[in-house]
Amino acid sequence: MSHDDHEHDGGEHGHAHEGHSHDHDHDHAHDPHEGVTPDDPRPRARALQSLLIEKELVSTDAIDEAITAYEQEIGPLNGARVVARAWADDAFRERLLADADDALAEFDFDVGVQHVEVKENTEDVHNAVVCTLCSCYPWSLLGLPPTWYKTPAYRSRMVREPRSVLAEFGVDLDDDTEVRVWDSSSEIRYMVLPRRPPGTEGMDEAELREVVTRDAMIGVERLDGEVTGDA
Amino acid sequence: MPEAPVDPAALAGREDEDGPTFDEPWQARAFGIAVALYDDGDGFEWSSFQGRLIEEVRREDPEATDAEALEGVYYEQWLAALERLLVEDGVIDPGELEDRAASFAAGDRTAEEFVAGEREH
Repeated sequence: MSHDDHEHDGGEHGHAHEGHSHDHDHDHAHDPHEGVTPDDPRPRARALQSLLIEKELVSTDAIDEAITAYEQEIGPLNGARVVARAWADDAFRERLLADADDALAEFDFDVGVQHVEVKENTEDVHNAVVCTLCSCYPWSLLGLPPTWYKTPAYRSRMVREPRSVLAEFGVDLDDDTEVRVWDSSSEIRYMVLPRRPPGTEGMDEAELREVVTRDAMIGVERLDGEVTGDA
Repeated sequence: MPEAPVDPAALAGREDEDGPTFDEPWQARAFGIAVALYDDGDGFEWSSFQGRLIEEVRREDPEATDAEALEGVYYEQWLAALERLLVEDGVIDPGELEDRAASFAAGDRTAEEFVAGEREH
C-alpha cells in the first residue's frame, strides 16, 4: 500500500522517519499527526509541494529524483575521482587548478551551474573550506554537507582561528605552514586538492580514489602523513 | 562567552559510510523541492534562494549541539527561505499556503496525493 511519504519513509533509507509515526505501512490517509499545527515543517513542506504541483511548476517525480540523487548518487566519490585523476595526471591537475569548470567537464557527473575552484595543498600551504553565512558547499563534488559544516561554531571559528579548529579535527600544522581558508559564501564553490600521500606511487586512479576522504577535500584532514594527531 | 567547540567527531558519528543524508522525510522534501524547482531552469535564481537562506540562518543561530536538532533547525531555515522566496516572488499566495498547510496538519490531505497513480484532481 502507499507509504505516507512515498519511498522516503524509513525502510531502505534508515535515517528517515516521520516524527512520532508508527508502523509506516499504516501511517497514512486518515491518521493525522497528533498535535501537529500548520506551523510544523511537515505539513508546510507538503503544502509547498502540493501547491507547486497544482501550478505545474514541479513534479513529484522531479522532487523524488533530486532527493534520490543526493541520497544515493552524488557524494564524495565524485570529488575523489577528481582528486585521483589530478594525482595521476599532471596535465589534468594543471587544468583543474587553472579552470576547474572546464576540467570537470570531462567527468560524467553533472557539475551543475556552480562555479568550482580547486585549491591545492602544498608543502607550505594548507587550504580549508567554509561557508561563513550559510552552508554553501561543492555539492556536485561532495554531496550534502556534514552537520558540523553547518554549525555556527565551524562557520565563525574556521575564519577567525583556523589553526585551533583544525587542531580539533586532528590536523596539526607546523607554524610555518600557511593556512588559507576559502569562504564559499560567494558564487564560487571551493574544494581542496589534498597532497598525494607517500606510499601511493604505484597506485592507479581507481586505487587512489580509495585514499581520498571527504574531510580531506574540505580541508579538515591531512592525507599526506604529516598528521601528528590521531588521524 | 566562549563558544562550544565544533566537536566534529561527535557530530560525525551519526553519518553512515556514504555520508550525510536526511533525518526526516520533510527535510528531504524541503531540499528536493528547492533543487527540483531550480533544476527545471526557470524556477528561480539560486542566489535569490541563497540570500534568503542566509537571512534565515542569521535570524537564529541554534544553541543545540546534537546533530539531529542542528539538522532540524537547518532544514527549518531552508524551508522558511524557500517559502519566502516563493511568496515574495508571487508564485504562491501566503493565504493558500496557510490553508494548504492546515489541511495537511489536520489530516484532510495526506502525502498520498504525491504517490504515483493516485494523483489529486
